[in-house]
Amino acid sequence: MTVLNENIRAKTSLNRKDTIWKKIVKQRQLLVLSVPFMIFVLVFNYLPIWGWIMAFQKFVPGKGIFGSEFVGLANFKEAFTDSNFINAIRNTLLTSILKISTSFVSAILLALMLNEVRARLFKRIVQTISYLPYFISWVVAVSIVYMVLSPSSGIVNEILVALGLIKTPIAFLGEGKYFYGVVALSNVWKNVGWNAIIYLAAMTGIDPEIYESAIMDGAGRIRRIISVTLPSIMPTIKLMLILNLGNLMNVGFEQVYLLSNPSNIDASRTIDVYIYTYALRSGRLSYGTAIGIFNSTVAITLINICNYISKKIDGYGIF
Amino acid sequence: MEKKNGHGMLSKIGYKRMTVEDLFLDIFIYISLLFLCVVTLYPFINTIAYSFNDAIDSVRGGIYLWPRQFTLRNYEKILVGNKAISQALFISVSRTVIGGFTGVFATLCVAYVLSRRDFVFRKVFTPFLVFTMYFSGGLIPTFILMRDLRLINTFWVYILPTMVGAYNIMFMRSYIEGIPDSFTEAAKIDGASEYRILFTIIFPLSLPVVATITLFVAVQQWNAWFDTMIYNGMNPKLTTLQYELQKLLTSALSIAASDSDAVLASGDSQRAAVTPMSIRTAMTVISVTPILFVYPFLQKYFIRGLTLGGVKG
Amino acid sequence: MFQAAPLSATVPFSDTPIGQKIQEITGTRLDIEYLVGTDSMTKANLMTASGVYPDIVSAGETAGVFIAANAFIPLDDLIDKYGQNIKKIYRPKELEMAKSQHGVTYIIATNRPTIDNLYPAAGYYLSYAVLKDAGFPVVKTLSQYAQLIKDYMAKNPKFGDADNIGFTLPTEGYRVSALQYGAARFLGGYPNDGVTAVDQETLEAKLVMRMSVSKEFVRFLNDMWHSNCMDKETFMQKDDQYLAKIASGRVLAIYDQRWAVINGLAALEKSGHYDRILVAFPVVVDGVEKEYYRGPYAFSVQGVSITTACKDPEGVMRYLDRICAEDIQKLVYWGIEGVDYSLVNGKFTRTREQWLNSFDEDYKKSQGLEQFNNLLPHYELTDDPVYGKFSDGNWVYTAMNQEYNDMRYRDFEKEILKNYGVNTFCDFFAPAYPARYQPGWAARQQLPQDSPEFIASEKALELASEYFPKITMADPSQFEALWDEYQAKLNAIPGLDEYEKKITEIIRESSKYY
Repeated sequence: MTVLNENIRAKTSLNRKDTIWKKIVKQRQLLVLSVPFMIFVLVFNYLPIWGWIMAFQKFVPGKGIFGSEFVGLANFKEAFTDSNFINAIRNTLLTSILKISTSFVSAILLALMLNEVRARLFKRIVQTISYLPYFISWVVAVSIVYMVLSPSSGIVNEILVALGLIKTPIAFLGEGKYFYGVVALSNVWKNVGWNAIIYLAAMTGIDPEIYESAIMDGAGRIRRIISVTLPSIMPTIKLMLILNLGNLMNVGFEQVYLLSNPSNIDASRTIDVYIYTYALRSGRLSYGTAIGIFNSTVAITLINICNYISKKIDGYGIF
Repeated sequence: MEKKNGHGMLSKIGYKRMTVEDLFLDIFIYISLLFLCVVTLYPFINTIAYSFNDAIDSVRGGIYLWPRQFTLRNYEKILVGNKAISQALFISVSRTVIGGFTGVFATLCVAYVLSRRDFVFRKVFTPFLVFTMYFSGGLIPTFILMRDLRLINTFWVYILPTMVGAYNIMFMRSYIEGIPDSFTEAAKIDGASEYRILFTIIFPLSLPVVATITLFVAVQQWNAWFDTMIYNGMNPKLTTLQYELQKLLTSALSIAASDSDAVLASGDSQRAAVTPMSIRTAMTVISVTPILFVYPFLQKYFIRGLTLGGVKG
Repeated sequence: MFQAAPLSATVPFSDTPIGQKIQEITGTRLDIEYLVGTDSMTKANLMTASGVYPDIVSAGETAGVFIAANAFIPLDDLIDKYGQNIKKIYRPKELEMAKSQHGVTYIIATNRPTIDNLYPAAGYYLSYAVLKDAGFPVVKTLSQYAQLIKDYMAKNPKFGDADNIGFTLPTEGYRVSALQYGAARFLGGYPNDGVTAVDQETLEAKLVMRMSVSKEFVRFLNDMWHSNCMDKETFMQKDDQYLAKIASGRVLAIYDQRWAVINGLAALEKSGHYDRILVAFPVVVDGVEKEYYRGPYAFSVQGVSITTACKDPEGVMRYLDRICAEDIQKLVYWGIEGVDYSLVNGKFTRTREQWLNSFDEDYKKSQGLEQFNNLLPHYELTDDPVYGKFSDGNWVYTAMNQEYNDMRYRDFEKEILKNYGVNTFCDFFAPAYPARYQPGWAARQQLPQDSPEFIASEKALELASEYFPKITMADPSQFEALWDEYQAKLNAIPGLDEYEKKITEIIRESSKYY
């Protein structure tokens, strides 16, 4: 039996001594399954990068890319000497950290809770309802947020005052310091149901026998959640965490832009809003591209760092 | 509440401890979930209410759970007499189905290959794929590429560029990696090809994730309109439902003024105006309703646990 | 053909009854792609970068992009050869103006002058209740305006159960321009020239925010704020909420443009609060004599162009010329005879039903009525006896008929007009007039968008958004200090002087052609 196994293994798995060509031949089926799609990625994702050259030019739409003047790092210099841009970086980081952490925790919590519900109908109904806000555009959603948080007529302030927690209504959207919280919470409200789907799918892969043995060991519900459910979806959690941290600089434009107004612009001016105001609206494509390159560079660096750290901690990394 | 199979063997003390804890936990969970439902259902009901409310009256605000001045006018404006809608619907459904299938197929293949720790190019392909999530060449270079590939003004521009999605692939790969090797060992011993392993073993075992990815891809295809606008705007035969809806919204945003003014002059309730808000809410309801019917259908694939029969031992 | 402005129709124009008749007459079908969902600049950039064009483009404000990319063909020869009708309905000066910027004609204007005599386009509004209470004063100055609000507020702090709101402004997204420069500029007796105010004698342009009138405006806001006469949520409201407040009848005063608040006013009207309706006045600061609220018309050339991708420019020009002929123009602006109007003794007349149809946007779109505005070449829509009339003496623009006013004004509006002894709401305002130079906001579009001057103006705008709320809410004793601080920062922005100089140049240059 062992010999047979090894023969079979030898067919497709690789030895150190194999040359790369031998490896390719051995795994040709896998390559057939993957290479065509990798070519897609190359074509549709990597080829357009040549457009990055716009960042080093003073792009004039009429002249096209070949006719526009080359200005080297001028665009980058301009961005980094603009105090509004630096302010934007700070706002982006603060908003992002708060947003990522809250959406993470809430999605996992929701998934865990749903997983514990045994009444199937209730579970299905809750799940379906919880992801409904995902489909509402941010325009409609922000309208609701403004209404609910209004100091004069919003329900949140009414409840807070009635409970005696605050004396006068708080203008949540009128002061910069509340902005990050509003972004994070409204994001949770809108997306938690949808985000939880991933973890729920991962949980279906848990072998019920593990639960059974945990019960036999005397583990209570909470103990089971912590020792069985959570560790089982740990790979998924780690994957999501790394991927999302790579997106640290990308808070999303629509939500922030819609929530911003003259009173809170100090806090709400994120990088995307900055690009919109200073680059897109005025057609300064070069400037926008330059900032975009900055964002991408940070993101790729971040994800490499996160991956490295993750591997150092427990050997798990996505690449 | 059901009890699990094994509990009969437990000591009495253990059982009691679980009941109290069970109870508290259940109460906490049910209340939290109920609260969540209220908070997340409200905006949707609110949107529906607005969509059935007279547009001008809606401006006053104060609509919460049901319309104050019921009207079908907002939907009429969108659906009735709009010749483009039925063709757009056909295209939208087509791209959702075709895009869904191709997307899931591509994701499955690549995810499986990348899940194999012994894959020769694993350390190359994976970052190659993952990095695509964090950069983009920009709108104009992408457009020029599509032009040069002759994809502009075709149906395939909806399908091909987004077929291979890094995020989905990573997620599926993670799941596949969690499938114990024992399942595939037997097949390998029998000398099965990779294709067989993928489609007869991995695929059925990954149904929950496949269902999830299908949902993600389908929703993305269904909601897309920006690509229509850029690539196929000139071709009425290839526009999608979302695009047509956006067109109406853009139009409502621009004519809002004269419309209401003139309508008031007539003093005729038959001629109700529309506002951007009323179009937007009606649009949301029209777009979301099909999804609500599809998801429960997919939910049944979220079955707990792996099918064990016939493989172990 | 591509239309670079958010004009949309569920029924394509060529499929409407009028569109089909035009097709029969000309033997050509026009397919139109409308701009959808994004700003025109992005789409213009895409088209020029890729070189994918339709035959005709109606570029609007994006014309510069196309011209820089050499996407349009010069039309001069074609107009000379085939443009008889065009030459008939366009003033010679207009055709010259179209030529002026680039030496050749690229664009045939579709934004012809249009006069609206029913309602002023913008102004400082006051609630009718306030006006009634004060005996129908004609409001002229800012101090008078402020006083009226305060007096009424003191006597009537509430409307029903809710508080009255003294003064409020739109501040969401681009609407904040009202706060930044829109409201202030008219106060100083300047017409709408965008971010700048142009001296009507010397044609010198200055940034509104740098002028004393801006300070007066913010001082007014500060005063209102501390007299409890200003909406505390002014600086953090979405347009939805703003309109809802107007619709509730609680708002006593605003500055805005009519088209932006029309839905709010409509809702107010529908709920029957006729005496809370808002009426506009041309308020100015004390000492200013002339106001320019109803600004110039006939200013810049935005319209259709033929692209280099067109395979038969001569044919297209003949088509464009043909649609300028009287028969088609009558079709477009009055409709199909027998259906939309009747010919009685040589005069065009309409029944009440036909008039109501002509107000209904839906009907117009599905019939194809009046769809040439900003789309294709057409007559002027003014009361000019030569260029605004057909050869048989009928007005081109239906609004020039007296019946139009009667049809459009509702009863309560007629009552307001009677109490003031005027015919239309525009009578409070000085009349509109033909432009003498290219407006500042159009001149601004001619600046390259990554020039230091343009960027400077954008920064100035953001600074205003940041400071004005702060200064408004600050204690009056700190007003001067804060304003000085703001001015210091404003003047520290490099490139502002150049911006003013460049705009002044463009304006002075253009005045030769008007």
